[in-house]
Amino acid sequence: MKGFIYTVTFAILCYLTLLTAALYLESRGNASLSQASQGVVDANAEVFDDLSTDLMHHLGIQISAKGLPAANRTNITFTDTIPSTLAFPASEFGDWTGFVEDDFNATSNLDITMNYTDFQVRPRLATLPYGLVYGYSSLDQSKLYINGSGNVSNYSLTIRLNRDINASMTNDTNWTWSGSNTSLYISLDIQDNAGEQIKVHNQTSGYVDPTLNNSVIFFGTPSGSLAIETGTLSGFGANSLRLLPSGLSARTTTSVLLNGTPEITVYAPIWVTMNEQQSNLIVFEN
Amino acid sequence: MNRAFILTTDAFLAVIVASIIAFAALNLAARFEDPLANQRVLEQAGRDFLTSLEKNGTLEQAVATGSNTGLVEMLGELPSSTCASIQIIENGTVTMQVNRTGCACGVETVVLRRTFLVEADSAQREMYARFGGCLD
Repeated sequence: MKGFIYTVTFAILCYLTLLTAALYLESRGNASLSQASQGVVDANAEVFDDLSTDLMHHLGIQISAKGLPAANRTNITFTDTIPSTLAFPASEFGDWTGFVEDDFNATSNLDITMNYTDFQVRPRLATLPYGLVYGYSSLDQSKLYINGSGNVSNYSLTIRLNRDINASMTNDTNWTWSGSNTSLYISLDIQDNAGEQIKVHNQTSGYVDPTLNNSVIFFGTPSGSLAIETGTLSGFGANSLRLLPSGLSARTTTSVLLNGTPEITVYAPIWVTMNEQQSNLIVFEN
Repeated sequence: MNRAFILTTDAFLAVIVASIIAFAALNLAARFEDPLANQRVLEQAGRDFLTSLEKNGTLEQAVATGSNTGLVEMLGELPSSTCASIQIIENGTVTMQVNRTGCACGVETVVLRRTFLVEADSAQREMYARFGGCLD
């Protein structure tokens, strides 16, 4: 009887040992399968990132963001050149999408399709969760706008122009610096081609009335102009901003101070489908 | 006394046999290796490499200047066990190729591609870089 008990105990011990080994092997196998799936996800993410990088290159934009946790605020900065430095931006955009969908697709076998009709009509980058939209009138980037919201409290604009500005011809009659604090603060650092600082009513920063369309136009020498509008703009959200260059080029760095945390996602409304995955092109995440 | 000795010996033998089986099982499990693990590491390294080349401007600079110096330097930064080459392809034609010196892949086990844009004279050119690699 005792011998029987010992034999059974021994058999159970052997069984448990082998079971442990089998479970270990199975877990290694599952880990391998998981890694393989991860490889596909990585490959897709890589292509999305690749196309996002191309789009940013095409538009000539750089984005950065910095949180100001003590104040629960976030500063997002867009560096850009308007209008586009390309001679034929719309056709270049078409060449790029065609290249991705045809040439690159054929060599990589990734079955990429892009839906960019909406972006072609209204090229823009949307910001989550703030609802801020950084966009252009068209792919030639001739007019830049930031469709603001109640979350925007401050614009800090650095502009370098490729033309001299005739300060005496500046039209700033529709721009009023507010004597008291409002919900919209503007800081301007504008220099013309000669390095001369351009001011509005002899001021470079201050509060403006956000319920008005505050506008100023600088006229270039011998030609060209740059209009800046901020506040309540027809067809835009609260605390918006618009830059309208004409006949000149402006290198712009626009910092927008937002009320909220620094978790920001910026995406372009270009839908990319690949390997049964679909996503907007995410151009920036913080 | 005799019975106790037999029981003790039996238990002792059982522990030895169980230990041998456990050791054998663990040894067997340890020998189990994912045959594609190295491949995946190489793939990830290749992806990171191509991303770096585009984002730090090496690819665009190589095309703009016609010089492969930057690509040669970047290839030299790869782990010594990685053998790789970079091709720049425009309109289906290889316009530049750089191989890592000191090794050659008999068979490329990883091939990756990444598109990039080059702007010159107010015009844009679309091309892609091809990474071909193997473990030396």
